[in-house]
Amino acid sequence: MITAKDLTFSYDYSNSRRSLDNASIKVKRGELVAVLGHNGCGKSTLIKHFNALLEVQKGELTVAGLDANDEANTVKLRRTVGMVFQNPDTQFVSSIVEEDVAFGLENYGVSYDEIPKRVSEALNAVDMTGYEKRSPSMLSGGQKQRVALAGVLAVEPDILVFDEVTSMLDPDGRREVLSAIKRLHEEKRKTIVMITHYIDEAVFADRVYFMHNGKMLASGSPREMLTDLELLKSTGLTPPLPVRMYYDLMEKGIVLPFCPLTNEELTEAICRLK
Amino acid sequence: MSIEIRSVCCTYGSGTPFETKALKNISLTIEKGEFVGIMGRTGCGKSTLIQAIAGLIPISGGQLLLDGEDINAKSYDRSVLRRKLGIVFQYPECQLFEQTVEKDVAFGLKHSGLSNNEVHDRVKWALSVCGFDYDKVCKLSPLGMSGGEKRRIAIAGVLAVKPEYLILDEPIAGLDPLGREAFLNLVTGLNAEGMTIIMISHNADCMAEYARRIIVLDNGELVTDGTPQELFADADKMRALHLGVSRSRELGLMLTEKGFDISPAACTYAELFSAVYGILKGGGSDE
Amino acid sequence: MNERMTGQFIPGNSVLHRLDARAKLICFIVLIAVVILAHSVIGYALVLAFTAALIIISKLPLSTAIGSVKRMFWFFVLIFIMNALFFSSENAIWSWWIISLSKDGMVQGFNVVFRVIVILLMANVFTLVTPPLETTHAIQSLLKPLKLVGLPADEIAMIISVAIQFIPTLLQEADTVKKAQIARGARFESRKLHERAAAMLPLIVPIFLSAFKKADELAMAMEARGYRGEKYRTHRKNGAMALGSYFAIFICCVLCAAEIVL
Repeated sequence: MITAKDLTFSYDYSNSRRSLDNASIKVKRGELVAVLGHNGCGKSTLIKHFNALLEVQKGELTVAGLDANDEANTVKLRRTVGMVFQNPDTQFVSSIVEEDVAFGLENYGVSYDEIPKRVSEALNAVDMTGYEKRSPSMLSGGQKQRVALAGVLAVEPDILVFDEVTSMLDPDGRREVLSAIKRLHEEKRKTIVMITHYIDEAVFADRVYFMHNGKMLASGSPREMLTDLELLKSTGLTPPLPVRMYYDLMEKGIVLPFCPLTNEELTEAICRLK
Repeated sequence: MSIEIRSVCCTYGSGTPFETKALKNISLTIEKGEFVGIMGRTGCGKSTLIQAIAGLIPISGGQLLLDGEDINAKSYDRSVLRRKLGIVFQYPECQLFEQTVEKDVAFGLKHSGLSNNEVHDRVKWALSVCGFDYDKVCKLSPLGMSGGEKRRIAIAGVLAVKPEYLILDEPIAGLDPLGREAFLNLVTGLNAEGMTIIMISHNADCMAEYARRIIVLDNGELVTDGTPQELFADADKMRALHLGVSRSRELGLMLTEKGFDISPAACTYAELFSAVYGILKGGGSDE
Repeated sequence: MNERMTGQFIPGNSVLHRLDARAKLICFIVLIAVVILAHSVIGYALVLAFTAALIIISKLPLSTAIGSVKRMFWFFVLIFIMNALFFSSENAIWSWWIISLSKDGMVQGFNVVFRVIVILLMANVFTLVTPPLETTHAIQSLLKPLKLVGLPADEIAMIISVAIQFIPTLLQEADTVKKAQIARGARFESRKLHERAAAMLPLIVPIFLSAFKKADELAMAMEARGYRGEKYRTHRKNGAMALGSYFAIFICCVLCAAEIVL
C-alpha cells in the first residue's frame, strides 16, 4: 500500500539539518504498522509525506499505486490517506459535531443527500452516535479524537494514519481511542500507520519500525523489535514491563522459558517455570 | 510549615444556569517536604484545587493557609505567596515570551528585590538544575528551542524563585520516555533537598513510582488520601474512579489470580520484581 | 471548567432563541441604525424601552444580559469625561489650559456613551440567544448577494465559522497563560498604568504564538481533510424564513422610521 524509498527531507532545504535521512518504509494492505521513536526523531515528518502535506524532496514514495512526486495526485492522495493529528483541540472546523464530520465529505463534493448517512455511519464506527448536535469543545479529549477520526472515516480512505493521537489524552481517552483503532484494523481491515512513543501501543501492531534522528533504524515484528534491549536503548525508548522483568530476572539467574511481550505471556511464562 | 486546606469550596458561574461546584468541602494538610500526587479523572476539580492553593482563583468557602497565614485574607501580602509557591502549568512551554533564555528565566525575579548578581546566580542555578549549561543557552531565544527544551526552560523560570512549594500540573504530558524519566528525576532531586512537591498526573505508573502520598479527587470531593501502596491495593476502587492501577500492580493482580502470592501493596516495579523474584527463587528453577 | 465568558450562547426557549438567526441578524443591523438615528429625548426613551423589552423577552438573567456593560463602567466614565472636557471650547462653563468643560461636550459625551451602551446590550443579547453556528450560516446566506460582485462570501463565512469554534480554545489558553504569569510574579492587578502596559507583554506574546501555532495545526488538519477552497465544496440548502421572522424585521423597521420622525 505504501512504499517509501530513501526519503530525505529538511524543513529549510539544508543538508545539515535533515528531519528525514534516507528513510524507507513498506506497508502492506491491511497491515497495522507502528512507527516508534523519541520526540523529534522524524516520524511526524515521514507520515506527512503519505498524503502530500509535505512534498517529496528526495527519494521515492508510492501510496496506493499513486506516485507522490506527481502533484496531480495530491487530491487523490488526500482522499486515500486519512490522517488524525495529536492535538484534539486543533482539528475542528465547526462547533457542531455532525457538521465537522461532514467537512471532509463537503470538500470532495459528496452530494448533499448522501452526507447525513455517511456522517452517521462514521460516528457509529467510533461509538459516538448520539453526539451529533454537541459542540466538540464540550467533549472529553478521547471523544474529540474519536470525532476527528469519524471525520476522516466518513470519506472512506483506504489508509489511516495516526500522528501520536493518544499523547494528549487521559487514560480513559487513550483506551477509547486505541480500542477504536484496533476495531478498525480487525473488523474493517483498514491499513493503518500509527506513530507513537508509547511502547505498549506497538505491541498489537503487525510490524514495528524504529526511527532515530531521521533514520530508519530497524523494523520487524513486535516480538523481535520490542524485546531487543540494545535497540530500544539506542532509540531512547523503555521496554514493555514484561520484557524488562524478563531481563532483570535473567540477570539474577532466573531464565524464563521465553521473552514475554504482554502481561498474559509473562504470567504464562512464570506459571510454566513454577 | 505546611499548606492547610480547610473545608474549601469553589463554585464557578454562580447565579447562572451553568453553576458548577468544582470543589466541595475539601480539607487536608500538606506538610513541608512531602511529595504529594493528585489524581482524578478529567473535570474532577484537581486543577481547580491547585489553582486555589496558588491563589489564582477565588474560593467560595473555607480557608487556605500557607505556613499558617490565610492567603485570601485582605491583609495578606500576595508577594509572599508568589515567593514561597511556584506552579508549573500543563504545557508550560506556552508561557515563554522573552528574547533570551536568561531574561525569561529571570522574569519571576523582577519584583524580588534581589541584586543583579543574585538574580544572575539564581538563573544560573535554575538552568543547571534543569540540565542546561548557562553559558551555552543564556543568550539563545527560548522560542527557537525544541519542545522538551522549552518545557525545561519554563520550569527553570519557576524554580529561579526558589519556591518552598512546587505545584506541577501534568508535567510529563507529551514527553517521550527519556524526557519523562529525566524530568521525574529532577523533581525527585528537588524533593530530596526539601522542596515540597504537589503533582497532578493521570499516569498511574509515575504516581506509584514517585509520589509518597496520593490524593484522589472525584466530582469535586476528596475520596482517598494515602500512600500509593494503600491506594493501588484497592484496584477495584481505582478502576471505578477511572484511574486504573500502575502496570506493575496490574501484573501483580494477574499473577495473584493464577495463585501466586503477591502482596496487593506491590505497586512499583521494584516491589513487584522482588515479589516475583522471591517466588521464583524459592520455587527452584531446575526442571 | 472555566468561568463562562460574557456573550457566550446560553441555550433557552424564549421567542428570541427560536427566531431565525437570519432575521435576528437583520434586526440587529436595523436596530443599530435605530440607535444611531435616535436624536430626541422621546427617541432615547423609546430605544431604552425597546432594549429593556428585548432583555425581558429573552428570559436571560439580568446580571448576564448587562454583565459586559457593567464591567466597562470606568471605560464609559472615561469617554464621557473626555467628551465633556475636550469636545468644544465655546460656551465653556469652566476652562483651564486646553481643557474646557462645556455643555455641548457633556451632551455629546452622553450621546456617545448612551449609544455604545445600548448597542453593546443588544449585541450581548444577540450572541446570548443565538448559537454561533447559526450566526455563521446567517452571515453566509446574507452575504450571498455579494457573490455577484465577486466577494468570496462562502470563504468569509468559513473563516468566521472556524474562528468562532476556535474561540473557546483560545480563551482557555489565554486564561492559563495569564494565571501562569501571575504565579511567576507578573502584576496585572497593578493600578499604575505604565506597569500595566509592560505587564501585557508576557501575556500577549505567548497568546499570539500559541494562536499562530494552533492556526497552523488547524490549517494542516483542514488541508489533510481535503479543503481546497469553497468552489469544490457541497453546499447546504437554506430554508425560507418563517412569517414570524418577517414580522420581527417589520417591527424593527417601524421603530427605525419612528426614530427618524421623532
